[in-house]
Amino acid sequence: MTAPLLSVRDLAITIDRGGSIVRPVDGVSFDVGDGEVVGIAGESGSGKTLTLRSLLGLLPRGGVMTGDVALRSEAGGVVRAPLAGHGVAMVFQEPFLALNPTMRAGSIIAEGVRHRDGCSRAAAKARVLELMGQVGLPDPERQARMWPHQLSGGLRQRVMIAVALSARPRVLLCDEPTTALDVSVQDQILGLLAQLRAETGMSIVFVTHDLAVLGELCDRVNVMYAGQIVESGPVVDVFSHPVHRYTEALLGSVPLLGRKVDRLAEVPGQPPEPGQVSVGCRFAPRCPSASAACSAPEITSIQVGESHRGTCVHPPSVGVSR
Amino acid sequence: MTPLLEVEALTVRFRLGSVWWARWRGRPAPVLTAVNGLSLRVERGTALGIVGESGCGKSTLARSIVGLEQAESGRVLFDGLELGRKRPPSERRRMQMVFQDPSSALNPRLTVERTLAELVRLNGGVGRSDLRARCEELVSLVDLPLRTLERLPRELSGGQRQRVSIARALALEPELLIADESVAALDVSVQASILNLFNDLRSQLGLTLILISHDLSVVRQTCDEVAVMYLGKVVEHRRTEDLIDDPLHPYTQALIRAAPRFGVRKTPGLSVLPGEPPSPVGVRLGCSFAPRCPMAIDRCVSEEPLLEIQPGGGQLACHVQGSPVGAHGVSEDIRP
Repeated sequence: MTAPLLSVRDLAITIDRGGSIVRPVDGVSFDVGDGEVVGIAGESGSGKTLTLRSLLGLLPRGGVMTGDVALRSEAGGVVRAPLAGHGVAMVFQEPFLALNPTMRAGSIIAEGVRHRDGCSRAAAKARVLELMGQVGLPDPERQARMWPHQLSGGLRQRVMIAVALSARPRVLLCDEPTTALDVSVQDQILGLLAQLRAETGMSIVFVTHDLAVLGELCDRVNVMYAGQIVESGPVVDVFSHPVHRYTEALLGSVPLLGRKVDRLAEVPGQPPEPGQVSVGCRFAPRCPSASAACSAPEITSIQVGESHRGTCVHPPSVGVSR
Repeated sequence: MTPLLEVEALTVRFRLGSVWWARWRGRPAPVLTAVNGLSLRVERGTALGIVGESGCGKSTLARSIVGLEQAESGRVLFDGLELGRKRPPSERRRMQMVFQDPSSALNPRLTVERTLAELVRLNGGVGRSDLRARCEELVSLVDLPLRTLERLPRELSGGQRQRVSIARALALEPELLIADESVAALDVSVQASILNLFNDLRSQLGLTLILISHDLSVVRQTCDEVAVMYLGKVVEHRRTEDLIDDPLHPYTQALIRAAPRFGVRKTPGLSVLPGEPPSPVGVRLGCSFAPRCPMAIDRCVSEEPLLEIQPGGGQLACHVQGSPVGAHGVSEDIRP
């Protein structure tokens, strides 16, 4: 078996907030294979965005990253974090904030192309138009002259994907790229990402709080809670038979389009602040099935099947169907 | 029985830019039509979901129902009485609104108790000594602990703040509650608890609810009926199960197919609804969905479909999917 394309081991981020030291990401490990779409699910504050950004070296002020991030380079060697500039590109959540408002769409894309490929203006222009066509921007010649504020949310997001693609990434990191978009536009962008994956064979790491979106796009999913991955596995297995109580609760709280349920599952309380996490399972204070065993310092992870595992003392009984 | 709320041919327009500038350039100022001759009925005790994408006018509709936006034409009738431009407090209190972002909707300097007490006092009928009791009653109605009363908004989580804004809306004992994207900014587990709360409040207080959302699954969980809006108009208004399980309007069909579902894989490159809604600025002929509609026929471009009662119940505005039997059982002439 070949080594995974991207491997993250025991990633932790420590932030010094003027005296108090917090760890919003604490021991995250996951792998991304070639051409694989890996999802990271979690609620706000779970550390999912921080994890993603740290791979590129984008840390918050006073943030220190520890752990091992290894990307298999094209030559066969290994590149360590920060991975920016090594075939890893990112698509951000808010396309309006991420695009320079004083540059036209074409120039924004060309900037990266010329910097990386070191090519002439004419060659860059041809490449920009090719990229814009690739991301399905209608009438690239005209769109290239648009300012970001003249573009709709969906088109802006396509421009940002084009910027990311200009790096010919082998791993595309997506930080909630469809959260700010309408459903029909979200559907278009998800279709585009699936298409780009099929065409270029790149891997995608997709971070979102929307479980249904992950279900549509991802091969594998990692569920994060309070800075840790509590469950990971093939998306079908995790969603149909979760082995962590948090995943189960999260799935139960999602309203379904197909049918109305009597009552959605509620999770009492709130996620802990980083810095006030409990020993043992961090979900235990909110978990209805928690017991004394949940506060043991080390909780052994349970494994179901080949690659589905979760760190739960009281895993939900198998057979929860959705 | 008179419906609790009736909206008749409501039109809300916004003029964009300066009139003087437009006059100087010798052109009319561009006009944005947010709500375009919309009609809607909400029966007492029902929960109506209004869904649509951003820019379709759903928030403007809600704001003009409660009187925050002036309508250009059309009428809003509440309990059979027409609501004028100036509404006396006794009328205003009968419908209340919960906004999308609870952090900006609450006064950051007032404790929850003062926020609520202000309204309880306005509502009248409560003596100074009973104020506290009434506030306690309100917070327990929205399932918050009593100690929340002493808190400032910034000390509360997003979900708790949204509960406070719901409690504030309930302080005036409204008959109609309009929730404008009230769960959109919340995490799923918090969203679930707010949706459960809406369901509880309906059964406890007999509230009529209008829930505005872009998320059809949220509406399915909470509402009896759904009205789908596209560019300022209702295109389909039916019972929730009928509409979601068997959508008639091509736009509704596309919205439902576009919504991500568990266990359905995305087909690479395929999108159910290409393009984006046309601009609400300026005037249009025909069906506003026609340019994107896979089923459009010539008639859709030239003639606007009207919202008509369907034989199976509900209303639909579509030339293709609509039943040839008109609203009053009169057969419409179908052009060759």
